[in-house]
Amino acid sequence: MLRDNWLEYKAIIISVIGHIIVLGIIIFGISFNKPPPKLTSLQTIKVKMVSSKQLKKKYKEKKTRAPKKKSPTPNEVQQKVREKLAQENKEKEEIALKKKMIEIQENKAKAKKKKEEFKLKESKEKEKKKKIKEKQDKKKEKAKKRKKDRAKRKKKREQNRAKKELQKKIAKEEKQENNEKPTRTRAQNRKMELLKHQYKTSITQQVQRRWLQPANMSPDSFCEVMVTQLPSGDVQDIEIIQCNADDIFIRSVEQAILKASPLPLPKKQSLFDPEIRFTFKPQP
Amino acid sequence: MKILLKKIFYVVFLSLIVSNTYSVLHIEITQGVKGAIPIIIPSFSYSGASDSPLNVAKIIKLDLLRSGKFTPSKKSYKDATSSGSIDFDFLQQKEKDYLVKGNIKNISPGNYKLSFVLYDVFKKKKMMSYSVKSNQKKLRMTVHNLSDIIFKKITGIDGSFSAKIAYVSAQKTKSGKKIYSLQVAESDGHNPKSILTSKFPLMSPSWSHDGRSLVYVSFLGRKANIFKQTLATGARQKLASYRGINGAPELSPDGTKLVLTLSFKGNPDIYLLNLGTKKLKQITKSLSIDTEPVWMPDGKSIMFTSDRSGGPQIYEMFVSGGRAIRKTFEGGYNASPNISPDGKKMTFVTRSNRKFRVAVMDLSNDNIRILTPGPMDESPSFSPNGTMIIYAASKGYKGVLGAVSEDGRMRQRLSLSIGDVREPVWSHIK
Repeated sequence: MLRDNWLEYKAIIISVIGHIIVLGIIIFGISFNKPPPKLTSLQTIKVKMVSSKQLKKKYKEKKTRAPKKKSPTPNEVQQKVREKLAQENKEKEEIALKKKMIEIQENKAKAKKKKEEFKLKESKEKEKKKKIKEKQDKKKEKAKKRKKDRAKRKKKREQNRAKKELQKKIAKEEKQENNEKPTRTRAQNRKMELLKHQYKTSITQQVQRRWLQPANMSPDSFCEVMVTQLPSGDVQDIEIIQCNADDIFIRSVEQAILKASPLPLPKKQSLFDPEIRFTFKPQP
Repeated sequence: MKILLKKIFYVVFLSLIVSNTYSVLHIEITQGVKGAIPIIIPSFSYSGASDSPLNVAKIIKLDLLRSGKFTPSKKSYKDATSSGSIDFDFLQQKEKDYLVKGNIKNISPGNYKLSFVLYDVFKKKKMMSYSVKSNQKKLRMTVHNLSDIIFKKITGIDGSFSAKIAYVSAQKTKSGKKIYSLQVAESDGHNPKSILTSKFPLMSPSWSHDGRSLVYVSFLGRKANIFKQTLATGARQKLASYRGINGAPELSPDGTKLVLTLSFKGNPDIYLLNLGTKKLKQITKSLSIDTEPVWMPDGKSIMFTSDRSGGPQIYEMFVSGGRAIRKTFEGGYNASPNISPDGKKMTFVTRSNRKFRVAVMDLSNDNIRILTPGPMDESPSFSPNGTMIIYAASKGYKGVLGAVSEDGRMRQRLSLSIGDVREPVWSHIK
């Protein structure tokens, strides 16, 4: 009784522990499912976006400013002057043009540079982002891993506990089985013995009914033979092991077995014996 | 680990069970059946100009049947046996243990060659083959010989079919007078030959152990005399002719002595007559009737019938003297003992249910078995192999020959005998 009560308590305790574990898992799971602080990363991205726009604006402004620089030349003087001026202007214009061209080129180069820089920056940012992302991913993964590990550990712990419990149970069952086993095997053995006995009896009857005993056999005559049978019960071979009898007796024995062929089969296949040893020993 | 161990344990345990069952099964057969052996004997094929002189197979079948040890098949299963290859499987299905395939060949006018092959049906093997030459005169005896050979090969017991029987028959002549004759016939009653005919009664024939001569009582000259007659020559010799009864003679196994019943002293008693010295020795000395002495095979003691207890009973006594030991106790009438050649059994006439019937006693335990129904059976006599008993049965007012197997399983009347048949005796040897 005491033991039973204890067992009941134990079961309750185990169930309570189990519930706690489950609850724990749920709680743990929720806490871990909380997404990591994404905001920061978003802000950085925004900042960078803004900067790129500004850059573009600046670039546009510069573009618009440049033609303004080309315009401050010409007025009405002398022709020569004008011409000179014109030439000068032309030259100046040319120079200016050249300068402009150079400027433009420079600007272009600058823009290119800027673009490149921007690109670089962008790529850097991307890389940074990537890195951050990676970091975040890593963090996430780590978190996941940790979560997983924890879950695993928990599982392991649970498994271990279950195992231990199982082992305990098995040990208990084994103990019980050790006590029960002999009776069970004894019962099985008894059943097998009974089936074997039935098998033997059916063969005995089949052979005895067909054994025409010689009329004048001596009372101490006996014969031991080894009979090989096929799975169908058909007698395949009769080998005389030892006989204390005349030829007539031996022949009667052989004929009895041959006449009894096919021999009856056992109810359980495992009891079938391809070899049967017969002893013919008439009793008065 | 523990689970693994547990599994291993179960595997070992199961394998132990399996190995246990694989120890060779041992079966002891202590009982069997004591029945007749089924045998097929199809008609012997005949090669010759005219028809076969004899139905050889039929004679053999009847011989074997009469022994009680065989049940010859009425059918010959020609399809399974006549062809070159014998259908053993078919014969096995028909539960026939043996097959005899024979041939009779007319080698010259009146001369024949008989041959047969004996097969073991279940082993599908030839057991033996045999051939013998014979002539018209001996042909039937030769066939009985074949029966003997087959019988011996299968049962291990010497056959008795070619051993002759002797009996006394009485026939009424046309004038109404009775004529007695001493007949010698084949064991199935065929071919009876009269070795002596007489107007006077003939009684108690008995064979010499060599089978060459018979002793008997003849009332020749209206007086009982004991004669010994040699069969081959017909020569006869008077052995005893005492005053009063001279009866129931039987030669000793060695042939040198004769036990007989004499009453010259007034009361019938058993005497021993030394044939060499002619000396007579009284064995029984009682006030009762002691008669029908027979030798035990060892030649040391005799069985005889005596009414010293009030009714006829059978006693055993040493010929050298001593007390007579009573052997039969059941019923008020037990008489006419005859001992099997091995000395293990005694057949006699017993009265049971007011009928006189042939019985057999196992001398090792005195168990008695009644073999015939009666009502007037007499003079049982063992065959030389002890497997059969011949006796005189009554059919109406006439005696006929009857044969019964010593286990009582087979009983036949040899109805061929002519006249009133009495006191048959089977020769001791073939």
